[in-house]
Amino acid sequence: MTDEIALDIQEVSKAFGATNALERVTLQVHRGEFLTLLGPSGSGKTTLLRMIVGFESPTAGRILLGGRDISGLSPADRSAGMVFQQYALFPHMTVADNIAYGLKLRRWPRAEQRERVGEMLDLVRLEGYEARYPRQLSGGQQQRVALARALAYDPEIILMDEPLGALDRALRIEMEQVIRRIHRDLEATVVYVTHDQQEALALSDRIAIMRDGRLQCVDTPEELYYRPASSFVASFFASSNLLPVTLVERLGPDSARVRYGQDELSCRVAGEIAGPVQLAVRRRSLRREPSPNCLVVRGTVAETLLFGDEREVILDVPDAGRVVALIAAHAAADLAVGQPVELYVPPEETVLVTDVDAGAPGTAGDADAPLQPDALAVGP
Amino acid sequence: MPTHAQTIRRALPSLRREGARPWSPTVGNVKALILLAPLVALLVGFVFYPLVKLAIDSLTSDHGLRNYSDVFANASTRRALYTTLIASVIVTAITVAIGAMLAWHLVTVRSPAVRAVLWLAVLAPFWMGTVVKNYAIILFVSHDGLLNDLLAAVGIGRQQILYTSGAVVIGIVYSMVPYAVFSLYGVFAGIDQSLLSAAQSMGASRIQALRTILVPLAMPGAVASAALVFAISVGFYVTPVLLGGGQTPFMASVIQANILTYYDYGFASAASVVLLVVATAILGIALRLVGRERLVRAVA
Amino acid sequence: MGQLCGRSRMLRAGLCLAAASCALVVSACGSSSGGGGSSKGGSGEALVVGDWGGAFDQGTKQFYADPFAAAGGASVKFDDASDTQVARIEAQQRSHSVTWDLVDSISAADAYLLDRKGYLVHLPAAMKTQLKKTLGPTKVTDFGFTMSNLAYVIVCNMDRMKTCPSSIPEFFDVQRFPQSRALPSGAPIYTMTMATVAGGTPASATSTIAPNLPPAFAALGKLRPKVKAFWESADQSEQMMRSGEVDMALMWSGRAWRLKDNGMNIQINLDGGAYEPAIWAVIKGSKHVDESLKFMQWIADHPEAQARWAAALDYSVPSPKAMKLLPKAKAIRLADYPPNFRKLAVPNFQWYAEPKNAAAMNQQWQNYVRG
Repeated sequence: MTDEIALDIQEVSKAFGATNALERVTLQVHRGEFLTLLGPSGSGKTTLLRMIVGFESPTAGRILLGGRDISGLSPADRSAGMVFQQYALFPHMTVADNIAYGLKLRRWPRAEQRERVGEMLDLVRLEGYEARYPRQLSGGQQQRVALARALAYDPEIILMDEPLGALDRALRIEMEQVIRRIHRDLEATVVYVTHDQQEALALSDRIAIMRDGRLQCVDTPEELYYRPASSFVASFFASSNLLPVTLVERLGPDSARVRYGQDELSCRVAGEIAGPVQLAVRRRSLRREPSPNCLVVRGTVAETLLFGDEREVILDVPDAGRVVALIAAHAAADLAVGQPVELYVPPEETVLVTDVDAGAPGTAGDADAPLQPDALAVGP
Repeated sequence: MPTHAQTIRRALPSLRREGARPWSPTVGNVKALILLAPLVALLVGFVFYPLVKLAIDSLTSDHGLRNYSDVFANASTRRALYTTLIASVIVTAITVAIGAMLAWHLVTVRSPAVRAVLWLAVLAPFWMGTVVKNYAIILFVSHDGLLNDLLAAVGIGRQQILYTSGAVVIGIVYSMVPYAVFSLYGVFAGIDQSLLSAAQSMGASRIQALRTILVPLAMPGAVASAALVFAISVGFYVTPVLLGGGQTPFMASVIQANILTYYDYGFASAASVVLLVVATAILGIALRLVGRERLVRAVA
Repeated sequence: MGQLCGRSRMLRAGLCLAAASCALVVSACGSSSGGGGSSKGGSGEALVVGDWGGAFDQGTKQFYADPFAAAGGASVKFDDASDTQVARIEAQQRSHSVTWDLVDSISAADAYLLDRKGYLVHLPAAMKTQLKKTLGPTKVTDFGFTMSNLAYVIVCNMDRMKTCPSSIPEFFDVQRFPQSRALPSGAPIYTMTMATVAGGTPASATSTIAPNLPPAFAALGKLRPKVKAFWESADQSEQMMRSGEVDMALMWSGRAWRLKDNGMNIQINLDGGAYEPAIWAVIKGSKHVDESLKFMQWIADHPEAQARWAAALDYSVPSPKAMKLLPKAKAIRLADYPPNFRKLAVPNFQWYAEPKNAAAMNQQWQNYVRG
């Protein structure tokens, strides 16, 4: 990744009739950067991607690619490569012809086309598949061809629209590795769309979180995960629990004192604090053993689920609704449904966030982003 | 290979004895034959038998083999055969082109209102009787009709359209467009729209994307559609009479006249067989050219 | 349905062809249709008439069949075989299952053809002589007498022209009358009869001498550039005139009168028209020949019944007495009205019944139409 800006999205809005699909989105992508647009469905991430590739044009704002305003250009006049969720391989062409499609349009000499197709097949580890038709390939192989096809003609930017969405779990992890390797080897600039925060964590240099057509925040996976700037980022990205607290006083730029029920404690602050606040607590931060000055969460066990080494414990907590904890399985073996329990959170693992959904009770997780037991295994 | 149902039956003999056979969506061979029997009987009785009888009649009735030499020696029949085939080819080309445009819009149009109007326009010829449909075309192309009003308004001047082969082609095209739209709609609906987006993202213009992606993918379906349109067009006989004014003879009209006006059954049956054979041969050659493999793929 | 449409050779989309091919392909088909299939022998059983259906059957039943039965004759049933009579009779004869006793108002050309094939019963000599006396010699043939006769006439759209051709030679004169024309596409015998007159044969001689085809086709050839369309059905001939697609037409008199009645500014010229008689006949193989002949005799002997029938259906009838019984306004429109009949050219049906002759004429005519 360099400091040079490859893609510059300036105040871009898009309206479909009366509905605003995108509102004043501003975002820069650096050359060689892997940037992920993450958000629930309907958040505008795909619309933004389609505008970069040229299938939609912005209602307002500009998009610059390599310093050139491409907002009004047709897809053919932009230099982008796109990978589609359903592969979109041409069924009447062989693998080689699919990969060479962009080269033919650019009138590469035949020999160079063949050579390039060979290189691309090496890159995606599909040597010897030139003459196959897409229908003779597995889903993972098809997506690798799609990747090779989008990369073949050296586009300035690679756009991927949920490319792993149609694959099963094992293939997804394998493809994540392929994509990571290719990004690293080719130093390609990638804009990647997904609703899966785990994929975003595994692949991205930076993640842009979108919601309701607006850009919520852009940051590294680590910052977003450990220091979420808002309740939405905390719950959507890290599946954090959100506890109702009141701000007692700011202790400095990075910390504050809050009241949770009868208790007061110090916590960290990552983003701007304005209006009502909540305390974001990640699932693995809830422990059975107390620590000094820790937050105490009292509730009754509503449900427990064994995930191998860990057990997911769901508590009914008065005033906070449901709180989800992931506890080492052996430490949670004695918890039974209906049992009252106290869990403890070290204060340095709590983050005070602005409640962007003020009014709605803070709940953990998001329907679009269920937390898997090993979600954090691939995290930073 | 045993069917799924047979496998279950063998696995659960007791169930079968008690009459509680498990339901299965697959049907056994015998049952399938029984279910198909009425259809097969209909085909044999109303397609196969008449065709065979027709062929035999053409060789035995009236003048025997001379029926055929009469058909070929007859200038007006040769002309009718020629007219039928040429007009049908033109009709097929126009119909498939119009049908393809309509079907493509039906597949891609976003507005439900526009889609509804399009469907209505496509289906309208289906809802009209043959005579009404042809009289509608007469009103459209006649000397004082809409088309001539239009031609006069743009300065071209009124043309004789009615009672020409042009009118016959217009009339048959109008009747045939729904067939083309129906068959092509299925073809286009089965083509992933994102393929065109993919082509464009790689640098193809709209036209290039249509030419390199849509056309090859739709081609087998379009050929099947053209074959359907051609096969039906060849048999038209009311439209050529009403819109052609007698000078644009179609084989079906000639055959009909030979049965009802000139009572020459031998000639009529020989002419029918000739039309059938020539039309089938043309279809066969056309399908051959496209390639069986691609057609099978289009159907599969 | 138009009154005259029933006995036209019009294309009745699908139905005719279907029925005809049914008769061709499944020869037993004829026996299953109609009302009288089961009657066998005995004078008390109903006669079956192959007829034109609709109003035509209604009139024939009301004015001929019912009074005949009331007078002690056999009852009569009708089998609607509009436009497919020849095919049906052919099928019945070939399969030896004759279910019709009589055929009503079959085109003379068809009747002569059927007679040549031996499908029609010849009238007893005495009856024939008597009928000629009652109806007139031109209305009786070896196998029957005429009924529901028509004329092909010259019809002009007077909004398009000052004068209408008043004779056959004028109709064929494209220099004096450069306007566009419509001709019938089928039944060439009538148009050809007119063309022979244009080719030099006197109109009074057409019924007796063999048509001289070369000059007739030469005359037609000169006419061809002005022939904009050939009509297949009577409806179509009306439509062509009404829409102004053609300026004049050779068409059936009844249809022409209908255009005039509907307010169109047309002139109808019977001078130079052609006579198209139709014929009642008994089918060979009928089990009720005597009773059938009696029915025909009854019709011939009842001019008042013919007059009522003609008044109801607007078709011409053979009896001169019936013509006198009709109101003049009605009579002058009919082909058998003596002043009209005298002007019409009568085809030579005997000549046309010879297959060789018919084939030659039909062949050349079809080439003319489709060329």
